Amino acid sequence: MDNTTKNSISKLSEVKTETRRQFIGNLSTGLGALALGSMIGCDFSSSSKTSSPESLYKLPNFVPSAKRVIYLHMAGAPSQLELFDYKPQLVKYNGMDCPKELMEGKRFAFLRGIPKLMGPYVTSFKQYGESGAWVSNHMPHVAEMADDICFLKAMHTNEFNHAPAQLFMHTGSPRLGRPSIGSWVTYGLGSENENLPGFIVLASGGKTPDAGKSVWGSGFLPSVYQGVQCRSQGDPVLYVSDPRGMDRPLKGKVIQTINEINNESFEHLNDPEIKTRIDQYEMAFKMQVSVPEAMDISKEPESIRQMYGAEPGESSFANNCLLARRLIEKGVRFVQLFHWGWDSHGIDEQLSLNHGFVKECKSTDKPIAALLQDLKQRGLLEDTLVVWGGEFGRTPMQEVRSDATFLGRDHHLEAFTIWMAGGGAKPGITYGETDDIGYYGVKNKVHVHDFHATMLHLLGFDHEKFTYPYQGRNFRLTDVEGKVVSDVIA
Amino acid sequence: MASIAKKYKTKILLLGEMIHRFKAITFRYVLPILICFLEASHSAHAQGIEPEEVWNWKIFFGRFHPLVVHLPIGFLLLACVAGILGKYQPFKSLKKITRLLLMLGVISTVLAIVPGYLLSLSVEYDSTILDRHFWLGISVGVVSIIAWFSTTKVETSTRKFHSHFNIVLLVTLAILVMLTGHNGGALTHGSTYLTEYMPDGAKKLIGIKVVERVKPQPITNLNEAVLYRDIIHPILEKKCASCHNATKKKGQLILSNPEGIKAGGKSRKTIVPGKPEESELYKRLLLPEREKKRMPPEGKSELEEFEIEILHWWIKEGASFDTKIALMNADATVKDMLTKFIPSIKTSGIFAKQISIPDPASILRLRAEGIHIIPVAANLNYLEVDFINSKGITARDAKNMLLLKDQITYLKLSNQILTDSIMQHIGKLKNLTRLDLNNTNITDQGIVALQHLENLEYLNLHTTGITDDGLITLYKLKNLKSIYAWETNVTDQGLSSFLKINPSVKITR
Repeated sequence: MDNTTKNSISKLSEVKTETRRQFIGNLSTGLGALALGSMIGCDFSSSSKTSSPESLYKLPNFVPSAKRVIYLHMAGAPSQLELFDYKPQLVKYNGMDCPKELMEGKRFAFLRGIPKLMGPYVTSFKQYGESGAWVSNHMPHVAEMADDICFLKAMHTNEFNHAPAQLFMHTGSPRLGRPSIGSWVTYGLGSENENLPGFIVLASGGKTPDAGKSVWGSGFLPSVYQGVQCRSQGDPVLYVSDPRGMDRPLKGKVIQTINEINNESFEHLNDPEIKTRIDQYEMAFKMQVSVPEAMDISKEPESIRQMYGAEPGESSFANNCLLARRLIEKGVRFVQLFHWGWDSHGIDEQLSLNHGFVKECKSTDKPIAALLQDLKQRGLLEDTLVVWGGEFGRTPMQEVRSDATFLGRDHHLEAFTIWMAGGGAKPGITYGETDDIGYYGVKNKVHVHDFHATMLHLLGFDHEKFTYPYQGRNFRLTDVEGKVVSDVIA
Repeated sequence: MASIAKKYKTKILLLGEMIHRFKAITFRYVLPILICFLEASHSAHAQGIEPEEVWNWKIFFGRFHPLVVHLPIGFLLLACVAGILGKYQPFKSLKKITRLLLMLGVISTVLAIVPGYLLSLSVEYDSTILDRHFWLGISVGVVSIIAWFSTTKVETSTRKFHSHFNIVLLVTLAILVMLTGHNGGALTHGSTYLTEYMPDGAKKLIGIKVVERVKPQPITNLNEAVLYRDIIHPILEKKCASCHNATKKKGQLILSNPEGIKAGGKSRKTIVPGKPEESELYKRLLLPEREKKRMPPEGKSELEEFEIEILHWWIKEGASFDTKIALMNADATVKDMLTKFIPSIKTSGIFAKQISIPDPASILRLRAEGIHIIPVAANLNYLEVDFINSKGITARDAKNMLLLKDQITYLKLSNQILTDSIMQHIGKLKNLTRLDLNNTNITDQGIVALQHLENLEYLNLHTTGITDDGLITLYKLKNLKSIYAWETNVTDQGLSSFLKINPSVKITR
């Protein structure tokens, strides 16, 4: 085991070994760089090249304020009008026809003709904390944390269907093939804990995101940077425990042999993906010990479990929130949570604002507040960025497909709310405004690309300089767009 | 008789040959140029079109001046050197070429003076320097002709006077050539071109006024920044002022100071406050690259898109020279552009202080123990150290860290077992700003070691046995911003007595 561990440290560093293309591309500059390196001499990053973590990832362009991320993705898109975007005018317009201009030339997933406006399904909207942020009765616990939260109320996106919108939100592109934010961040900052993956994914709500595993894929980045999905029920990682008749030493030997063979073929083919595979085998072997330990929430004191509402052995958002904190504490760089169940079209009980939506609010409100509180008391919120948000928003218009007893809204890309907390985001502010009915952002709009640029900025990266060369050009998370929203940076 | 005829025949043949050559040269070179001249003046006068609009023959030929002007400099200076050295025995052979060099010098001087005069007619230059350059140029022409004759005379005469006079002439000529050249350079590059980067001491020695250069201060707080002083002026200075300065004044426009900008250039509409679309300064930036009026002209460094946008915003907001950015209307796009003028490296606090490169051997020794140690950011020598992968901190690790005491600024010792001697070493890491000691066995005795860590901003002590007595020993740390004391024995009383002495700290419990 010890030997394997030690080897893996040095081997992981070779993941970024060049491909043939890169080699040829480097021929022109390579020799020059070599000479320069030897001239500079004892520069500490080059002298320790063989096993230095620097060769594993880039260094931030400037001192980061966030060093870790917990991204709470609310898959299906929760309605901002029932949670944070308080629109008293919309109550007045309830049941009235939507102005024609708002439908003309627009595309919606389901809305057709002239739908009717619908007032928010809430019992109360109140201002909380010193910042006076508006939160509805659906999220009473999150409301108590309002002074730690930075609300972005005029977010907008380009996509109105779940899969492309989720891809857009997580990879900066509505099409497959780009690395997810988590991959970019681990590529940029690396992992602190050598026994755990740098990017871990936890899903709840009974369904994985519509866009599939691509939302935590590594795209064209080396595949060591892809998210590793863990579960809070059963084996934390599928097949992580030893099968019957195969004990750990034997498994260690098997992996060692496989890696020797892989190494041989690497020497033959020089494909960096073989290196990735070798590292993944070793990581998997280490994870057999480290992951069950990290994922065991029964080790948490009762008081903490109650705070989150977590029950060991269950598959729940609450458990995942508690796990997220445990993983962050253990040096995992990026923890991505997915919680499905917010697609409130009003077509059945689960997908309606007056039933399913309320249920999802209840099951996420307390854990989210607990997560913020727990990070805060442990001194982790200062440099851990927590993000909450869906892939788009929901329309001020009611969607009536079959049964009008289930209230619902269609997908809306013009305006929705996302919030951030900790990690250098300005606490206790509300940035951006929407119009009287919450249809368009009217002040301080933030596009998904801008949001990504801002996130990377908090993590110490200039989104225009943080690139990866692929197919002849340098790629960025924000591609050719994105502006850092400096007003939300503390 | 026959011999005479023969003698003349060769001469006549030679003459014929010369005429033939002259004709060829005339037809091939001189006539076309003459036609150009005639055509130019004719078309300009006949159609009454402003010569500048079609083609300006004065400027066209005038611009050959810089092309030709380096020839006489070379010929004449070389002639002076050859003429003077030729008087001494070892260099006698140089004497033979002096006259030839002078002749070439005279011809090229005349060829340079004519276009030079034409160029001076297009008033784009500082008139005092231009006048001086003009008269110096003429005097070079005159003196070189005299020197040419004098050198011819010296070759045939034996009188000492001629020889001395010749030397005086050659030295004068050399000085004149240099002065003329220097003034010409001052015209195109600006009069301070040569001395701009001279050390201040040398400047004082030769009597140049040392101008206190106001170094553009990096903007740290956008709200305090003055738009013209901190953003617009640096752009104009960098991208425009090499031609539009007090000495060069292209298009009679000075962009290096507010007075010049207000006065405007030839068009008189350089800036129309509030109306960028009518301001030449903005309009010309948007013209296509090949357009004559486009600024900066081809070959000069371009303005960045955000620089153009910020100029637009400045003019739109009234082109004020002293308004602070905080008092102006900035929308999100403008705000984003403004951030591009703030240096991106976060150099506040300790990171603004320059420190030496860390010792690589110490880093390697710590890494060998599985300790995570990396720079805080690219281009910074400050280090972040995390014991998350270590099997337990040892006194040796602590000693190794001491060798990096200037560089280590973040240190994470969560879940470690700490001894007093380790704490003593940690207490000497003077540039520490963040220290995590949560879930450790640290006690009130151990924490005393931290009381000299003046730069400490963040101290995590959660889940430790710290009490009020330990906490209070940290009261002197003026830079402390947050202490985490959740799950410790710190009481309300201890908290309030600490905050009485040091109210700027936020203690989370």
